[in-house]
Amino acid sequence: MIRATLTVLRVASRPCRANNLDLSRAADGALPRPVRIGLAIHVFQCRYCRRFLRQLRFLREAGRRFDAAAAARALESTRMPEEVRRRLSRRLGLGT
Amino acid sequence: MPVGDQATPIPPASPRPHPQGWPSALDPESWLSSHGDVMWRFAMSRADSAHAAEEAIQETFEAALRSRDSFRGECTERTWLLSILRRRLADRSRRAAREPRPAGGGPGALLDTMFDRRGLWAIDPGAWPRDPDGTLDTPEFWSDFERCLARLPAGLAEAFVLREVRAQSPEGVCRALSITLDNLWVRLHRARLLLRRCLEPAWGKKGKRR
Repeated sequence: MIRATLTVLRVASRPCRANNLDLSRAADGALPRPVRIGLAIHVFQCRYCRRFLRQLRFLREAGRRFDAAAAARALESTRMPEEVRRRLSRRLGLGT
Repeated sequence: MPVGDQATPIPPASPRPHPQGWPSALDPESWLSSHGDVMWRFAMSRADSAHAAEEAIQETFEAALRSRDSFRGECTERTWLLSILRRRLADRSRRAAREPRPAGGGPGALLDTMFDRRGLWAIDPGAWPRDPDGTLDTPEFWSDFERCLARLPAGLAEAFVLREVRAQSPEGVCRALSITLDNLWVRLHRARLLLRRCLEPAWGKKGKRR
């Protein structure tokens, strides 16, 4: 109990940067309860982290509604750039 | 599937018969066109930069050309090349872990631009729409979202799409990408920070520098 309370206090009073990754993780439900309570207290006190949290929720909602075909297109666009293909072809004597 | 010694000269890339007289199943002339994109995505999802990904792919092709006589056709050409690439990337990753990280290149670099030395916000997060419905009903938003997603490093984009768009469990995403849970949280965090930075100028009220 004492340990959990100390964790809550530690997380609540950490600088915003130290809580930034955990705010993102909290959205995935991946944090122990004392850390989540500490984050909630921090966010209650800090309007900037509150805004950041709202931005994360916005992105999460956008991800949920994003068209799966468009997502596949976005991933597909990570094709080998033409200049890389040309350089490798030239260095190795392979066809493009 | 041994990979040849770096110092051994690379044989010419033209197809040649298998040493046992069978026609070789390898066709180096088509490697870039047939497997280039897959290898690029694989390398980009694991390498620190596009430059490192390109080097790893070049080393892979060089090693594959040197040791192609050892290819017995027990797996596909692509699987063989990817297995070599995986080892090359793992070697590079081990080497990089022993070297000091260059300034500005680590995962903390993005946070450095957001926070001051005390760990407080250096630029106030902008006030984004409280109710996203108005924005998410706009076709222009989705075209921007797709553009921003396509600009993410492949490893971050894959993690974001599997987790947020396809709603896979964290464990499922880790299995699909062969990464640990801790690595997944970091990838999702970075993906969200980069998407936020990319979308904010057009769709969020930009915050002020403090």
